[in-house]
Amino acid sequence: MNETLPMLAARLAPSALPRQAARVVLWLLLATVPSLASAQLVVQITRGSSAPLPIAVVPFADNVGPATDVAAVVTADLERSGRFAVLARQDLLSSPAPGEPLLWADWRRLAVNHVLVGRVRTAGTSYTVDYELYSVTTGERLLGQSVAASFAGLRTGAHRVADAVYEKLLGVPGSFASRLAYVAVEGRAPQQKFRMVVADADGENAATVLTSNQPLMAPAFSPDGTRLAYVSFEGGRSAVWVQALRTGERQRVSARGGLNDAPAWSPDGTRLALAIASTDGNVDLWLLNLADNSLLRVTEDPAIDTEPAFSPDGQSLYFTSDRGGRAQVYRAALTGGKPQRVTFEGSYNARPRVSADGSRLALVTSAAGGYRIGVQELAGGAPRVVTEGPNDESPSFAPNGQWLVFAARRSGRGVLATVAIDSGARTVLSTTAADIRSPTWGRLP
Amino acid sequence: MKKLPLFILAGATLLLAGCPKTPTTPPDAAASSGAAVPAQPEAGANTTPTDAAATSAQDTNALAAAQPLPDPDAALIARTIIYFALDSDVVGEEFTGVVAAHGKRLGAAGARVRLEGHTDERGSDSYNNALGLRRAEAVKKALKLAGAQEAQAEAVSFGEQKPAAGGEGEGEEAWAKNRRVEIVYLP
Repeated sequence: MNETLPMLAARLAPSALPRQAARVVLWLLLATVPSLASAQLVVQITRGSSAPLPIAVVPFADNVGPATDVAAVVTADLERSGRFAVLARQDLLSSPAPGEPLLWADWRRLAVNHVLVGRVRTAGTSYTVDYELYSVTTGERLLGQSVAASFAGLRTGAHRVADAVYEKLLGVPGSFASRLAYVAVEGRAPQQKFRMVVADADGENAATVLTSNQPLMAPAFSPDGTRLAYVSFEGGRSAVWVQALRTGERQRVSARGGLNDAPAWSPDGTRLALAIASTDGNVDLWLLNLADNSLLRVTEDPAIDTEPAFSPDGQSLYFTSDRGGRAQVYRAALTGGKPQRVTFEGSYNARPRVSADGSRLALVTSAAGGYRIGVQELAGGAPRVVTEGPNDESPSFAPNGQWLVFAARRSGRGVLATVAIDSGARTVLSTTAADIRSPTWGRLP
Repeated sequence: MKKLPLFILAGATLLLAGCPKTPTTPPDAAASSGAAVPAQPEAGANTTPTDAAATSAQDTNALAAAQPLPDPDAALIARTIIYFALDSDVVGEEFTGVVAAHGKRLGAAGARVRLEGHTDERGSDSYNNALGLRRAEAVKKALKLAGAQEAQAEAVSFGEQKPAAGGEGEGEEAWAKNRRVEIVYLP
């Protein structure tokens, strides 16, 4: 099934004042004012899952244009997850509003298990979205709730409705109301333009938060979703920056020697784990305390130690090291002790990320002559390959731990792809205008 | 874990592009770092570009080319890109002469170079940044052995972020063009 989402673009409200950023170093070729990306990502569902749940999403009452079509956004979210088959709108026999009676015989004839109805109420400059979810089999009302949304945030409100439906029917939270950051690269080497982009999880509302003629990479959302750490090569050398997403204000937090790389936030948002090179070019892991800029060494080994990720309890770092001869994933306790190797299968395992519940790792693993995304249970076992390759990179968990976004190549172009870890449902987000790289998934602020 | 309070002065110098002070690196780091690179069975099979391929690329930079080159090293000096085998930071035999010529020239004159390490696109981004830096450091070490001073060469890495011109495709030919260190003479 292929579906192209409507390219509605309710612009994020950028309250960016570039002058506020003047106290940090700004380079001539950089712009930090969020602006709508010229190239909107287009979502394709490339594989659904078996036995999706049949559901009807009735157009929401009083949801008049040009406002976001809430039912259409909910429909797209549920279908993208691969877990739902949403009845086509033209097949609906009636369009009840919340509180109105449902004709159960009709819904049974349409062979749907559940029906979602809703209404959009406008009050001044904001919306309230009421919605009700019914079971067709029992006639029971499973949900009857409201979400508030700002005038520009009705899409986000719709994503929250989809999250509630997903959680009610599948027992695990949704992450439709969340954000992606990624790097869009335009032009051909050596004349390339790099943009750091923040977008909704469905690719909409894409806003460029930084532009550079030198590489940008490794974005990471702070746990509260308000800041983005990343690596910028502006000036010809790597440095780690932290940028406030609301204002665009940015600060260089590490520019030491030959390499400053791979920022990873501590769960409480107070520290960054970084890969930093010493004077002889050896890369080790350090902790940077953002409050006082103090640095603490975590690893000390002549091998490459890089790509740290905090465990959810903040007590240890998972990271890539070739100390055993080839790249494998290790875990270092921040309380000390020798790092322990955690991957053993395959000749290459790297770039670990930990699920929010701490139960599994996502990583890049060598498979079938290429690189794919693997998921390894921390309780034990080998990485399970969940993507097709041949050159997949940069896996990042959705906040609900159910889905991964990663960088892939399709027809010679960099794209973002998502995979639902358990159902195997896949989507690809791409644009013909740029190579897309380095995705990361984060919460809404 | 060793909680060495390194970079204690970091607070004051954070917003400056200061030189790092990293005295904690073991003295044998360079040697063991080299030893940590696995023997690559594919290194022989993986072609590095031939001399012809290397020199046909625009690998002379203006400053190097602008120098008068009366010496027999002229042809070597004109080459400023060193290519590497897959996952390797070893300067191959076919490039030792090139690097030695640059090192000799640096030792004789006061020029400075930036060594820009690069990798192909395979594998994870940040691992490749570290690998690119290793390559740049390997070239720096060879330059110093040939007479360059520490302060004359700076090693940096772009990992897989800046493919060479013509290196944007997929396949071994493109990848081999990208596994490189560019010797850039600074003004």
